[in-house]
Amino acid sequence: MGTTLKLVLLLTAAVACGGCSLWRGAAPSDEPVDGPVPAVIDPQLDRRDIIRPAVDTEDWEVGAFVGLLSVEDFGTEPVYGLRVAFHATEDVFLEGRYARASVSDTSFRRIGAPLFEREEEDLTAYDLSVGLMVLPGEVFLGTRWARTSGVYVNFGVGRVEFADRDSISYVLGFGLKVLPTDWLSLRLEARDTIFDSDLLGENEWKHNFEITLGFGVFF
Amino acid sequence: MSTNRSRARGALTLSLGCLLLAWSLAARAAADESRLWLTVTQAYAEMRTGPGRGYPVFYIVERSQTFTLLRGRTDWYLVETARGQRGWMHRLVVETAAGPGGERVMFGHTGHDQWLDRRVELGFAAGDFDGDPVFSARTGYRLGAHFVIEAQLSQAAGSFSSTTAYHANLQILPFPDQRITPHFGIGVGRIRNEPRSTLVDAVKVEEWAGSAGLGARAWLTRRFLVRTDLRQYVLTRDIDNNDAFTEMTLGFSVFF
Repeated sequence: MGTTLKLVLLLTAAVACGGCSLWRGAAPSDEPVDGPVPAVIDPQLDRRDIIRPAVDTEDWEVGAFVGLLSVEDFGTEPVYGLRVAFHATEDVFLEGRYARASVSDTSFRRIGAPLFEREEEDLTAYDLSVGLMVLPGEVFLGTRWARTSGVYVNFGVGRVEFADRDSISYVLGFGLKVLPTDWLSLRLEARDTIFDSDLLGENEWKHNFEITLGFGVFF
Repeated sequence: MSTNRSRARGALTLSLGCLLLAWSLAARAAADESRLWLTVTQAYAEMRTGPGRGYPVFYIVERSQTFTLLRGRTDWYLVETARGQRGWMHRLVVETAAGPGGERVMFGHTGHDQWLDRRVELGFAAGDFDGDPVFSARTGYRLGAHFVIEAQLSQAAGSFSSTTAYHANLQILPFPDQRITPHFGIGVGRIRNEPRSTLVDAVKVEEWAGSAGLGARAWLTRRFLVRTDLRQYVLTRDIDNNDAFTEMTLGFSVFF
């Protein structure tokens, strides 16, 4: 065939193909479709029922303690008290404490300088503190007895009332807590109560150290 | 403060404490007999010796074994398997188990939900009351979304006198759901100022006072919040030609 004929045939084929692509069937209308639209994707959602078990939670701990309190400038006296703790997380608990001791000024009386009106005066200390369990673990007694334990530190703020004077106090302490059963705790605690007092004339910061042994019941 | 009054207060506290102790021991005795058995769906569920991540894992509950919940403490639950083994499981591990009919297990609200639904707040604070260190304890209840009524007891012990304030406050929280939420408040109460007994011509003053203040609460984590307050107290009568006291405190609270 001649080149002209080939060119014409080629051109016709090109136009026909191009034209075919231009010519489409009726475009899909944009009007809304009647009836439910079949879902393209059908997600398999796991809609199980939810149960919320009601379990007895025991975050509160109530306990008592006894120990020895060393009152600065006086002697060492027995101290006893109560405490209530709220365990917010496994690491942090908030504790309120009330402690009493009876302090005597016999040393001052002996040298002829009595400080108190009567020989014994009451010391009352109460405080709110935050405790942090820092070393959880277990303690072992012999070969058969193992119980969960933890070492904690606590610090807080409170008030000391002593010999008709009161003062704000700051508390720092640490202790060992052992749980012989799940609901009972035994605590050996050492703490320093820092407060200011002017019993001896001048306003000074006093440190009252104490060591106490106590128990607590979780409920 | 007379010793008789403090003795009576001590006796009252001790008897209340003993009652609380006795009640808690009695509460332990009443056991719940109905058991809910959950089935392990993961490959295994770990059981620890104590309610904390620091305690060792001593037992593994395998898939399709069942266990029941005995009691909980913070985020941990004391569980017992069908074979009688007891140990502590974390809440998230228990939540992977399935209920008796294949249900999902969920334990109430956590975290942010607790913050949004808070009602009762208990806390303490320390700071400065007109130059003297102050320690206060408070308890508050949220009414609706934006109001909090609060009872507060503050005690400031200074070099010359000690001040005790009992106040009832009403606070307005404009944005209660934010993580750090400010508040404005007014209050009314009694302020008692007792000079040190070593001073001569000491006069004890007890007066009604009004207060106005502002502050902010910041939600830390779980059920804790940190709070700061700035408050001005105005007395109806002067104490040493001073009828206005400024209190600034930083506090820590637990909310429920």
